[in-house]
Amino acid sequence: MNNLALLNQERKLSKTYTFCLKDSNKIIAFLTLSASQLNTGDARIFGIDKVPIVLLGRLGVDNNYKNKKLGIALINIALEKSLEASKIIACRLLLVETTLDIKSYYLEKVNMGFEWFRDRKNSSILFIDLKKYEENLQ
Amino acid sequence: MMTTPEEKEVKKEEKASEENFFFDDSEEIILTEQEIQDLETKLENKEIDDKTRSFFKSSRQFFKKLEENKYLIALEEIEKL
Repeated sequence: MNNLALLNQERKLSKTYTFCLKDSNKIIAFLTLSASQLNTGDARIFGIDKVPIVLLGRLGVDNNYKNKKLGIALINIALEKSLEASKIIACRLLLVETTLDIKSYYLEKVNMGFEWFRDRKNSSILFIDLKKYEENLQ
Repeated sequence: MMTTPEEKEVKKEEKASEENFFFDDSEEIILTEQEIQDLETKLENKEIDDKTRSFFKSSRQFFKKLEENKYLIALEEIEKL
């Protein structure tokens, strides 16, 4: 997994952020971000047919470090990095596709500002509006 | 030439091993008319609840602290989130 993450990063396909233990450098949590888009099909939203987004591709936490809020910390990092990116090359949403069992965690248990977008067969698509995030930091 | 079920299975496994773990191979998201309307409404709505605003602010504070500490942070600090 480390090799693939680095390879993707070298190829500029995705960027991986990790939490590592200070002494051993062991990875205990990670997430990946990449540029993507929402396709509006034949219709348009705000006059465009593809909404630029940051896709939160993978988020994982070592089983030994579950329930320590590492996932929330990673979402914080994802929000800040996405906002930073949006100031250079516009992107409106931070989008995540999560399993249905984790959906309620994102939406209810921890209020992180995620909004529900669509359920798929085995997953749910949620997003945070980066504009709202930026406007509500003060 | 016919492909046996065993060969199909092998090909499926080979394809899976070629997939990039960091990218979901599920189909592209194409919005429906209703979803476009809903999304536009959500994006135009500037209102957020106090809990979300509070999360956003703490998110910024956490990240600033992380930067100031050169990306070193105690697990106990993270657990306070």
